[in-house]
Amino acid sequence: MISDITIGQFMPGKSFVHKLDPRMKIILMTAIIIFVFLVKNLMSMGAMLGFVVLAVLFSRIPLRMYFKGLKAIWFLVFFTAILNMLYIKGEHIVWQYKAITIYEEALWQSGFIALRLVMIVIMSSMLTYTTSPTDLTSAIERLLAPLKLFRLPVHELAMMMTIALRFIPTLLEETEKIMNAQKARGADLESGGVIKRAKALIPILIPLFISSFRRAFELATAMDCRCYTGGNGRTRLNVLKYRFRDFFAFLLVGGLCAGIIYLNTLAPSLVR
Amino acid sequence: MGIIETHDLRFVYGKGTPFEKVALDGVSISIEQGEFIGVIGHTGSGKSTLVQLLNGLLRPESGKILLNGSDIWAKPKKIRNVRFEVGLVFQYPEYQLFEETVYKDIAFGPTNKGIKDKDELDSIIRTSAGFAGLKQSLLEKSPFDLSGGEKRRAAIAGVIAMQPKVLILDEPTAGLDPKGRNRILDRIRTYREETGSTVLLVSHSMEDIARVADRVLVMNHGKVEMFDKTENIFKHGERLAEIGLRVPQVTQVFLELKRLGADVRTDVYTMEFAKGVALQFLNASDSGSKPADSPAVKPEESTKEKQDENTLDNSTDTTEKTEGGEAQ
Repeated sequence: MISDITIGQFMPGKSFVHKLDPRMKIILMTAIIIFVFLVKNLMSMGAMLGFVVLAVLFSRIPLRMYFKGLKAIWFLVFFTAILNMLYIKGEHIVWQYKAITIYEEALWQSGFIALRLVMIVIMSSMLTYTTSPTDLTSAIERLLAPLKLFRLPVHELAMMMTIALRFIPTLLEETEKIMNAQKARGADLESGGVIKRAKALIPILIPLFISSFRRAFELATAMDCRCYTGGNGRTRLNVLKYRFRDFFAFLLVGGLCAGIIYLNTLAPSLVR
Repeated sequence: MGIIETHDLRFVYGKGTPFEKVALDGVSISIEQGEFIGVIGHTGSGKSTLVQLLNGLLRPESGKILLNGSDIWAKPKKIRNVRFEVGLVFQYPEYQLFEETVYKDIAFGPTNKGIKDKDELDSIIRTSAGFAGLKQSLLEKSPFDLSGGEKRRAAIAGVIAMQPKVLILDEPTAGLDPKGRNRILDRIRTYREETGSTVLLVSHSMEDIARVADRVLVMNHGKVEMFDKTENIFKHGERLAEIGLRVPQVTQVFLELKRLGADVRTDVYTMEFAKGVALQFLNASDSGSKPADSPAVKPEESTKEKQDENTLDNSTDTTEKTEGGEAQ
């Protein structure tokens, strides 16, 4: 049940995508997500879809994992698609029944929006599936480094993120343990109405809060013991370095983006 | 027919992910009513998985668990009832405490079971606290104000309060000082004697197991390695060492004595028994009219005398070793 949560879950591997520099991955994923929104006709959509499919294959993450990630937004995709279909007006009527009129344009648009959402989720889950949390945060720290000029505590923010990410699995495990312990004492977590269920959470939340605080204090002490004083003067054990494959990936995504802009001009836009 | 039987249990963690791991495979055991079973095995041998399967927290991949002869998964919706019959105390159970007072926390289990009558509940809570060795004055305190050992015992009381027929404890003495350990073990033993319930104790401590268990289940890589009377298990010192376990320290002392040439029994695994055997042995060697400084006993001599009665290189050496054993 709880182990089904895959957000931020890292799946170790040795694929091309795994080996990319995390900074490059973040930049490229952001670029791809932006260009997903610039896709305007079937040709550019085809190019984008093809790229996403290839990327999924190259990440060597089981397809099942992507589907798991999609499960969470299934409803959202479905809901927005339906709303779009009903509300967007156009010129070519496809189907009409009493007050409901569905236009061809609406079908295209809702289809595009659904596909865009799906691709965004796939690409962002690919980022977390293929990048370890530590890599991810050190990449964010490096990418945000220029903001230090504006006195933004970049290192501290990155450290907070690292710690938060680091403790997601720990807390999930802890939650599961506490749930099991209370279930072993006959706690009923699966039946009853909203109020009963909310009440049933108390025996889980209180021990969880207490142990989180305990962990936080222990961690703070441990950091103090190792003379942690923040980012000033800290060096890294593993310094991130761009390699050939990063430039290759950059060119690939750059080519895709240019291609999408070009393909967009070849046929009329299907979305507004 | 045993109170709990398992047939060919198999369980896999993270099925279909890269982290897939077979935790249990082909486990078939039978436990009789009223038995005290010790469960040992190295880390990751499947002990904890097994106990969670026994009370229905995990569902086996294949195989059956019979409680009093009926399959516990026959009606999956009624699995909660199994948990009242088979009480499970997790590792570090003190982290499950949540109520304002110890009293209310112990009441959580029996209330879930459906006991509503206030007097009945009160008497259950007080007896359970008694079994766990909690002073009545602690009952009105917040569980978070108790000491580590007290919290542990409060949590154990919380499970005992469900009046389970089978009580399973997963490393109940982990992280406690020797006094706390002994206290909990004694309490569990008394509880078993007074209620006649079946008890399963998972532990890494061979000493604890040797002290309390009638039979020992040895797990290794998700399979049953041995399941036999305690004394028979600790005869297999070498095999136990191979799978990352060992015999109790006192047994090691006697095995070493044997290796040095003393003809002593090696099925010694509790301190009380060791004391008797050692005394008997020393008396026998004293009265054996051989000089204390004799370098070695002649082979003819040792064959004449019977078990328990002799043969050692040097009696002072033995005394030292035996004392060393007792100190532990």
